[in-house]
Amino acid sequence: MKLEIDDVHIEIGGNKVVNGTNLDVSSGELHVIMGPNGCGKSSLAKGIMGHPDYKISSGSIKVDGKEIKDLPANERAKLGLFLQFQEPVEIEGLGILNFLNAARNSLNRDNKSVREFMNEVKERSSQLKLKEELVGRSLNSGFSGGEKKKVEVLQMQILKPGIAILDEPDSGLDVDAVRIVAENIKQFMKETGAGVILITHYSRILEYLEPDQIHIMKNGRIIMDGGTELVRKIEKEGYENGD
Amino acid sequence: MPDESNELYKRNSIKPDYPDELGNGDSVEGAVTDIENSLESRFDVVVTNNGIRNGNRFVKTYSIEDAPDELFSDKITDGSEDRISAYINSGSRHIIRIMVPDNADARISMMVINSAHMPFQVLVECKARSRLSLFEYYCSAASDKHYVSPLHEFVLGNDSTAEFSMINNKAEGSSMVGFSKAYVSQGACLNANHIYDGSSFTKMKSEFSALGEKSRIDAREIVVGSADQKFDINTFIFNEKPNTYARLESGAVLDGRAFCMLKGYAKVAKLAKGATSRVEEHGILMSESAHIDALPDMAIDYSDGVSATHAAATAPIDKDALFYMMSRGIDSKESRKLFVSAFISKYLSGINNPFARELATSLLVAKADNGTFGELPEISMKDIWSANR
Repeated sequence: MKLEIDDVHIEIGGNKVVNGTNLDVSSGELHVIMGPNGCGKSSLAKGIMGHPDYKISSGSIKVDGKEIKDLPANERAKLGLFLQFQEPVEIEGLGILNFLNAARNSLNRDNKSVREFMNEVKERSSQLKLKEELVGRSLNSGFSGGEKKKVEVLQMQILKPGIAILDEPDSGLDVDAVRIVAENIKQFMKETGAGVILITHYSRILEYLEPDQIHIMKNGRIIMDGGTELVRKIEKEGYENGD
Repeated sequence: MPDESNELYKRNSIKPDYPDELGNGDSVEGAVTDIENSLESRFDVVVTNNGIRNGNRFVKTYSIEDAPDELFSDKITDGSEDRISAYINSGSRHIIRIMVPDNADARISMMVINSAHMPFQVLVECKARSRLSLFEYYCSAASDKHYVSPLHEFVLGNDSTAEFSMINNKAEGSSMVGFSKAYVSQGACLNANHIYDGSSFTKMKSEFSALGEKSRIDAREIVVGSADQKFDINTFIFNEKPNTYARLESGAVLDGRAFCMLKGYAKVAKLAKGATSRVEEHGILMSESAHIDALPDMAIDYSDGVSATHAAATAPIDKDALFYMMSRGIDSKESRKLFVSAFISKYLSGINNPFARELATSLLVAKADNGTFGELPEISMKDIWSANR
């Protein structure tokens, strides 16, 4: 699977938040986007996934050569995209298992029985060190920040997208949880061969992963591409001197 | 009742056109059989224009002419409370008496089906330490323009427990105009659940009073409206004695041009030291033309240790929640359905009677899906029914 983002501009309510971003991601690749607060990282993620408030004013987003910018989010998901939300919504009354099962049925990616599905949820939850009773509760309702992030990763593992966009999977996590989440991302990539775009502010999660490329975003554009040396440069110099 | 003295509620009120003639209506026997066959279940009591079928030992039924005098002397409504109470008290042809003796355990299911105007009364008395589960299902034999007008009286003895769940799934053209009053004695618990799905017009007034120390009232009402349905729901909870608990949770999900007024009113008496009172009203608008007026109100006479809160929130369906669900591959229609089902489940989860809960869930989810009402979804309740007997 290949995601091609070509000179994409995104607006929210008439305000430009992404100003001409280019990025190509293929299966098996791990791309990391870093940048200061408000530089457009999450807006890019939501725009790729098709949030109705994030209008693609110009440019193109293609999945395997197919233009997707006019497709609703569910169609983009069916093509293989997945967004891990920075702030997942809470839906009281909607059980995680029911929700995941509905998503699984919509995507139609596996032919697992309900029992097999339940067993996989149990196994993955255990790997993520999620309390067992948590998956029996309403979606994110009353969950801690860390639990929400882990449930997002759990969804990714169950739904098996071709390319996952992970919007700050490490924010709000303690050191052990960062390691667990990173290990699960790594295992997911290994098992499925999926590509990942990982948005983060911190280098800690990258200690457990092997990024193919680091992209630095500022003022709505990717201003620098490189390897992990860029992370060290940013840590030393900050974003102010990064361009 | 609050309506009579509350200016806010007086201004926000829909007046029914009370029918002059009750009429006899057509036979509904065929419809009763069809519904029971479809559900693979048989109701204990079936109330129709033409008479009442009763197969439950805790239930006695009377035509108004044959009702014994003590039935009227024991009544806690006489028509002076309210216009609806007056209409039903004066116009009823049937009285259904439910008497649960000390320590007894009663489960009663009732179908109400009419094809002409039908005011009637259900008088419930639960003696000390008894337990009652009363489920009422309102439906139509035809889409004729008619009223169903139930009046309920509940008198709960000390330490008794009563769950009352009613579902209105009457067809378009019909109206439900009802009145309920409950007295809850010391240590007793009332769990009242009103599910409003059908009828073009619904006006319901309820008055639940925690009259004994440590008595408890949990009232829930959920409205799912579509097309041009109108709802005027007025519920009054009253903490009269110390250490009582009264909570009203109201929810509405409206699509199309539906309109709903939720008027939850709480009163805490001066004597009610340590009482807890809660009124919560939440609404979701599924279309731009739908309208919800959430009007919670409270009157608190100062007393030590009283905890009283009210809250109301109405909003269009959450765009971010829809996007979240769609980002997992679920289409817009299914996402809306899941969202509404989740909202509804908060209100239905308090129903202990599995038959009532499952039937309500099926009806409301189908309503949220296609907007239709007055029809039965294709479900069999046989296993749940058997398990509940």
